[in-house]
Amino acid sequence: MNRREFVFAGLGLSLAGLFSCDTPLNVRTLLLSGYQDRFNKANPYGIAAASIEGKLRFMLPLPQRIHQVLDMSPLQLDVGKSKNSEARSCLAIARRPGTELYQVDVERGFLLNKVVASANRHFFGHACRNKDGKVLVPQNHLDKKAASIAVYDPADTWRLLEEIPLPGVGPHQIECLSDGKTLAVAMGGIHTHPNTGRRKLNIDTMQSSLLYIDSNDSKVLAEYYPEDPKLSLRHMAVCRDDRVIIAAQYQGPSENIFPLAFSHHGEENLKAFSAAEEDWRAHQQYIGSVSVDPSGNTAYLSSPRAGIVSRWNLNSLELEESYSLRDACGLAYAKEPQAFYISNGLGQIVNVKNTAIDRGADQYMAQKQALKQSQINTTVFEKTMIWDNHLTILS
Amino acid sequence: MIFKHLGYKTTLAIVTVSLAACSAKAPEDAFIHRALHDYILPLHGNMAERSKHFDEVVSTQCSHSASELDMAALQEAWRLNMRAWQQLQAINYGPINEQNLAWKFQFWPDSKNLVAKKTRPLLAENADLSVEKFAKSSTVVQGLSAVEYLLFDFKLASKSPSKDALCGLLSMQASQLKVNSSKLLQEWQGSYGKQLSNYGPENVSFPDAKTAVAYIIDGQLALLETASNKKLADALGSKRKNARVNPYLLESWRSQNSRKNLLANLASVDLLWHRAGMKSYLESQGAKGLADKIEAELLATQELLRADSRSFFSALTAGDKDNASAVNQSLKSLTKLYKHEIPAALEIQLGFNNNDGD
Repeated sequence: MNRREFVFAGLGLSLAGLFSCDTPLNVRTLLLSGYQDRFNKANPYGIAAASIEGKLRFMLPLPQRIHQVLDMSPLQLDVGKSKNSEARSCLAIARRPGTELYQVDVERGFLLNKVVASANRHFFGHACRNKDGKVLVPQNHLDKKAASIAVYDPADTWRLLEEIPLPGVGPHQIECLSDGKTLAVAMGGIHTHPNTGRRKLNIDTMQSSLLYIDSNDSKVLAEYYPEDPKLSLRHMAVCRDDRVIIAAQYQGPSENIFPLAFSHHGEENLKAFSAAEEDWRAHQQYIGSVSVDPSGNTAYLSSPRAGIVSRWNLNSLELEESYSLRDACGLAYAKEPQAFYISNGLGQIVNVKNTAIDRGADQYMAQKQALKQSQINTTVFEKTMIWDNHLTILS
Repeated sequence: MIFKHLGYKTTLAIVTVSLAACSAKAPEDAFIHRALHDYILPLHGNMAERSKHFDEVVSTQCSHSASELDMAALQEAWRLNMRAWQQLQAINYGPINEQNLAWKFQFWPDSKNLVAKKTRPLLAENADLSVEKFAKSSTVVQGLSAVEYLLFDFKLASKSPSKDALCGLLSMQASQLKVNSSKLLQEWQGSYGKQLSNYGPENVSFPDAKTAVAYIIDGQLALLETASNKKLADALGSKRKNARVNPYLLESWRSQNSRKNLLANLASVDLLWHRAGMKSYLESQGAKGLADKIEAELLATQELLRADSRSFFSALTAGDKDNASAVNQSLKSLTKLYKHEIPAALEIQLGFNNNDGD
């Protein structure tokens, strides 16, 4: 008997009711993020949603701290079955060493389901959903030095279907590719155990990689290694054509400077983003989140340590511009109004309208300085909220 | 009602002005104003002035008809410039961050001795070194650390590099320090100073007064964390098991200026604390007890630094680490107060994702 727990709708209603709206949303696009409420010591953690105009739609307190929020909107295969195509939900994934997943109704802001990890497992804060609607969640094993991917079926009371073994430790972000079976996994390579808090236990021997694995038969399809084993690959975003953009957090000496982001789309090696040494130095060895626009022209990297967000041309893999925003980490792209959004630890969510996508490069360069000042606008400012490291947009 | 005849936008403007007037009375507003005018601007002005002075000394020495450089004069000008930079390190926000200039002022830590490795080839180029090539060179060769190598490194001195070779590189380094310092000052005097003063919801950098306060105090914390975690700890070998004392990991071992660097760091903290009103702001927020603790710890650390007239390099080389260890311990205590107690007392956020990432 596993420790899966199934909670029916209504459990979180009383809390959500404090903040949720009386009427369904007029505007469908939502900004979603885990949060920490600085002034609520009793129940500091939860998930919050704001409209794309910046109006807070709900705050739902949750027992464990949330890292990534996953879109659980009805898939194409579900639409025909659903009586209410508006019934959108998301999955809030507990941050390491959290053990819970929370499915949340984003229209009303209440908890639909809570899923608890199997015995001797904890999650890493990330998950993906494949074409069949199964949810795949990287997890750490506490009884031995190992990691795997838990596969859950939301359509079958979140039953745990299987555990796909991983050939290393410290998996972090996972993405489900478009063929429905291939998984891209950022293998951070860092071994941790809740008994020793968040201490990194194997820095001297760590090995990070980008791993492709077949979710049908658990076979490793390919594994690609960064230039230095201490470049811990942790976050990624996938373009429409399955090109993977993956970013690192370096665990070596502070004066060692390496490229911190890579592109991969079937090549023999990871292709490093290109920038001057001083530009990489400015990122302070740490990328907290990655986002791409659907066309695959532009990527954003966030560096909360440095308080900067950088914009990259995915055709040339070159740096185009950096923005200064304190403690910025969460990144997401909104198809409407075609803008990147950035969240930070100060309660801000800002939008950056990327006009370079629409303009010629030369014209853009001429206006670069003006754009730096004019293109960032505040969408949300909730001063008591600390947005966690990732931002999700539901269109 | 007076608003009856006014348009919506005009009404909004009046309300906004009224709110701004209300917020002007807040203690945060007075602190931000003093921090800008009694701390940020004077320190940037000092840095611009010291960099200009260093550039003038280099120009004078290099145009002098004598065959040899007056190294003592150059070294003294460098020390003054370094002191100004050490004081400026607490202002790690604003244009220095947006323009990624910090590394162009100083490259450190440097456990691989990159400064020497990358500066030597440029020195060998002598008259062939162009401004363009220098500008495209690594930041490692461009700032005060590389200048320190040219002026103080005993191995380099033993090879007696020519005046032309030294002057070629020194002139470009000094000129760049002057230009970058001046650029920073102008930015703060202009748009960035206004941006800090005009905090508000539409101001992306400073959406409210507390955020502006947090920026200023976070800069102090970052400086103290570097001072306590890096500037002495690495050389003392206190961060790793079985690590030995290594004086070559001190910040300015070549010039034996590391103790003066820390004194300058704390002089900067002291300046914001006393002259720019951080102490009185903290007291006004009901945290007099904490203010007293910080005052005592700051003073104790400064006294420990002054208690030994030797450079840290000399003391550690002689196997005496007592004073360095005591200073480091005191720095850690001071850092803890800034890191844990100030945010609680002022209800400000000093970084989250940054300190607690995944």
